[in-house]
Amino acid sequence: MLRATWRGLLSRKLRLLLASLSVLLGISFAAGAYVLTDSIGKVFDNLFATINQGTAVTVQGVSAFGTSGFDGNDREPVPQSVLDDVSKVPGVSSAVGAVGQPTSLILPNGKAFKSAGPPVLGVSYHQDSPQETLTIVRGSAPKGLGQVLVDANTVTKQHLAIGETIGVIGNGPQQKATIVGVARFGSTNSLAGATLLAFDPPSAQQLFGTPGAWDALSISAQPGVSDTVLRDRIAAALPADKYDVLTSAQSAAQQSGDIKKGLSFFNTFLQYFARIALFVGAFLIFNTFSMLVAQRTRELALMRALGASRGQVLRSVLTEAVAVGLVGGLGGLGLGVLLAKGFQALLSAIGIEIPKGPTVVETRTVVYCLVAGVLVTVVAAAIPARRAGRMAPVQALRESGPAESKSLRTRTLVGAVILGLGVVALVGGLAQGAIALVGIGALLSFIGVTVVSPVFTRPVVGLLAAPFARVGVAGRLGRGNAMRNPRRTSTTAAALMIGLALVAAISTLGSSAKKSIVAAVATSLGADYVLHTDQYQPFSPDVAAALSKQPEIGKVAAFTQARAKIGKAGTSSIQGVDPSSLQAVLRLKVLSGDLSGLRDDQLAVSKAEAKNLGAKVGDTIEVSWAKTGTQPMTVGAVFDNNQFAGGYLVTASDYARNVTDKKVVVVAVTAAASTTPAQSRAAIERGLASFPNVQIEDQAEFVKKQGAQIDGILNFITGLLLLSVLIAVLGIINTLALSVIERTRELGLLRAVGLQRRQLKRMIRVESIVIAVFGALLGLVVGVAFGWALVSALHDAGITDFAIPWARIVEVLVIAALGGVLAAALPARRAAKLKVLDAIATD
Amino acid sequence: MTTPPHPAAVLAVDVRKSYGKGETAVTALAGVSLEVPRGQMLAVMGPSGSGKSTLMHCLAGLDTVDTGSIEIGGTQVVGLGDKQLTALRRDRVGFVFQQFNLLPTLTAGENILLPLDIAGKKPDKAWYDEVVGAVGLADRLSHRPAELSGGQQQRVACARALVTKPDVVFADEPTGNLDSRSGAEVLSFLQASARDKGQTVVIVTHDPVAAGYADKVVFLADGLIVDHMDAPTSEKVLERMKRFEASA
Ligand SMILES: Nc1ncnc2c1ncn2[C@@H]1O[C@H](COP(=O)(O)OP(=O)(O)OP(=O)(O)O)[C@@H](O)[C@H]1O
Ligand SMILES: [Mg+2]
Repeated sequence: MLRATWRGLLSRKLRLLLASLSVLLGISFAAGAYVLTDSIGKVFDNLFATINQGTAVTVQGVSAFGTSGFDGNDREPVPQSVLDDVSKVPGVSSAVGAVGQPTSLILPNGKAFKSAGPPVLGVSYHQDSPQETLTIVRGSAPKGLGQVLVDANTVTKQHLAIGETIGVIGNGPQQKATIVGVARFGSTNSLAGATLLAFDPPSAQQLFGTPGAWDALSISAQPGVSDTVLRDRIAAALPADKYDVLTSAQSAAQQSGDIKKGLSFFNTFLQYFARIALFVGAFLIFNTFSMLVAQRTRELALMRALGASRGQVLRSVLTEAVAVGLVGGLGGLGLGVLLAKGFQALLSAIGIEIPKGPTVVETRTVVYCLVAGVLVTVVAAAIPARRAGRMAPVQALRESGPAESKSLRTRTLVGAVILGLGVVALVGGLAQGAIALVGIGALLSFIGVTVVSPVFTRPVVGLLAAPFARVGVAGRLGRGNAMRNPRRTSTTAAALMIGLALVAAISTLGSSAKKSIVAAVATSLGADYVLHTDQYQPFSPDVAAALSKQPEIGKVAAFTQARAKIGKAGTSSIQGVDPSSLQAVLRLKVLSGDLSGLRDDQLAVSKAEAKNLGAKVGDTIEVSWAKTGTQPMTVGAVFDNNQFAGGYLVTASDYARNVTDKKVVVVAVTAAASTTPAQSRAAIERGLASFPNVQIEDQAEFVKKQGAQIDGILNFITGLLLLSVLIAVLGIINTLALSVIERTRELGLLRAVGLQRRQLKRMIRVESIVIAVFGALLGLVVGVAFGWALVSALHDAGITDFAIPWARIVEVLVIAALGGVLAAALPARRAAKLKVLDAIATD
Repeated sequence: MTTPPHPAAVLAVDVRKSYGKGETAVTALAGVSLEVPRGQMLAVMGPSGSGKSTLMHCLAGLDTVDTGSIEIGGTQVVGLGDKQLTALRRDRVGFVFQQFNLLPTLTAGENILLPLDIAGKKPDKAWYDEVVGAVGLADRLSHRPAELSGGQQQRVACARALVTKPDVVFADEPTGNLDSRSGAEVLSFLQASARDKGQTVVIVTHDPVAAGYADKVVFLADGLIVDHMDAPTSEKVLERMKRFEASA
């Protein structure tokens, strides 16, 4: 039996190879994500281990909310007094205070530098200190506010040179500084592409840090004192629970741990798309095996007639599936490694330079590829294999192939039930914010729609193909072929449906979000201008004061933002603003309480968060701040959900009291009465003279920018979904190729009675286009429905309006039709190449 | 000026064809010359492997020859490209194969009209009705092949072959898969179309009974025409075949 299986495998290798390819692509994506993130993680492990060599112990404030560096800084700075105390601990050779804060760089041409992603950091440089991680490669160490050391990567990429003057904006207005040196970070030109602007420690402290305090302390040990001993001594000398005292090994692990946390988040994100691709691949496997089993009816039945047991036949098909899965898994692993390398090259091309390092293929990655490859294939092939096993021996003797007249009633019923369960899970999951349930719901819905779809394949396909059928015989024949086997057509189309449904869903979400923003701006954005930096990096609070002096400017509201633990709602973002100017820039609908009269020790809460907290005006909520700890605050007002206001607002003075970093995120400005837009804009530009990092957007620009940002995210996700669309197109190729083989004799007959090659190709193309467009239609309907569900669920998050993305829908349909044309190319060529006589002689 | 109709529907001169090269080459046709006048029903007979199917395929433009000349209704077939050959088959030649003559997705009626449909031509309604009536399938036209018996399927194929009024209809063992009664129906239909409608028909057969329906029989052996018989009857053909076997 095994020998027969093996022979069969070889004889069907081309068809199985195509099926393998579908698994392979999905697996390669997963493998690529694993290899990429593992490799980068490894690089950072090594990097931090080497750069921390001169440091024995580090001290920093504890993380108030236990968040990692990627979720924003929640550590209080370390006062100078602590540094003085630590210096006196026996065994300490030297202790230095370091500064590291986000900042803005103004290039010599006066323009603010816009990063493609990596941050711009203002840091301290400790000359001659063994703890220093920067190594000067050219020039000298910076001294005073007027001298800066820049990392080599930025110098190269921005074409900077020693002697040039750049601007640096930290806590206050722009500081001009001359580049005096170029530095490397450890062994690399930069820290993952971050721009580093280093000043001598007092200057760095003044520009970026907190007066009289440091972001972290780096301590070196005297000879003979081990890192752990020194750590314990220092920890004992400091107040308990306020500082994290770590050996350099620990802090290296923590730093690379932070990076790895980000990487693992990224990996998880990519794995979702890999799974979607695998799911689509499973459809392809299912279809391929179904067709192969149908084509081999006679052969399999003959085996049964010759005495092979059901189990043997079933196992022979499953063995093929395992082989396909292994090929897909291994090939996917190989391609994944290449993908990871390619992606790394891409990252460095857009400026995120990742230090060179070995390509890391963990055992977990290999196991995942093989197990997932085999599992997906075997599960998808299970139903066709079972069908093969149940083949009656008498079918060997019957004439022509499989009869497809079996009623669709039971199937439709089962599909409807699955679809129903899926919708319930999806809606329930969205209502409860349970992502896993949403995923299961989506999965079941897809399967449900696939199972149900053959019922309406004939009418819909008939309709879609009608224009082709009117034109000529090729169109009519193509339509007939697309309609003759509704199960096959609909499973092939369903594979395409999945990817396109997700594209449609997020596009719907995107278009709805854009519409909501337009509506929100129209109804609640009172500000004429919104000021912020690139990527909404916090900027100097002095901006607000500078603007208030201009007579053409009316109200100025500066929004600060920090994290705090709020009652039972957990850690959340909280904004500080002057309540008296708030209503002028944000026309919030106050549901209860007094918003513009919000006092210190009071909290304004959005409707959604009030519900979440179960709080109403007058209730007391415990708010924990990083700096000041837990404070009771009363709910002073509840306002209607609004995208700009977020969940929680406190007064600017409360914020200043409770938060160390006073930098603002957004300044909203109204023009003074009876000023022209040109006048008010000129006034703002004057006010921003020393803050070139701050951008001005009027309402229209703001809407456009937000829209562009949404489009960016949409395009990124759509790009990732294209993989599953590609696999689905492979599925169409596979179905058509198998159909061509299956219908060889028919094709021969058609050619014999005079169908031209050109007409034959057109016939196959029509079938392909119709299947693709059918799949796209299914996807669009399902996707827009998903999108609608998402939008409804996100109403409280500010997506208040629903908009169907018509442009994208038309795009998808056109692309699907083109995909159909493309998918038909190879099978059509193959069909046209058939020799008439050989084709007729086939059996 | 209209060219006078060529007297012969099929004219083959010294047609040679071999398969493979060198040592393993098989000569299927070793110089066949043949003329089929309009309206004649010709039967090609011969032992298995003698080249009957090959001859028919070459005559019908389904296969290429090595040397020689073949004219269908006065048109030289040898040397035509795929496109012209296809058009020739579509417009001027009819086919009936031993089995699998019909497209399963089309109804009997649609199958009959297929060559016209492919050519984008309107059927001649009267002729269509006549052909359909003659094969006795007027009431089964909306059925799909799977719902028809083998004999009925072959008759549909015959109707399809005739519907374009081709110069010649080729049939390779059209009754090979049928019982004698269904076979007789198909053969008498072909015979009638030749006698009554002037349709040229060439059939390949093993069966002396089938050959008995023809106006003339040619005997093929090892790729050569070795004998012929006018006004054959099944008895005479059977006798001749016995002689062949004895001499072989
Ligand atoms: N495609 C081919 N390749 C190689 N040899 C072929 C091919 N087709 C036919 N032949 C050979 O050519 C010769 C004639 O074959 P052909 O099929 O014409 O015989 P036939 O008279 O139709 O036989 P039968 O009565 O069995 O149908 C045979 O020897 C056959 O083996
Ligand atoms: Mg033959």
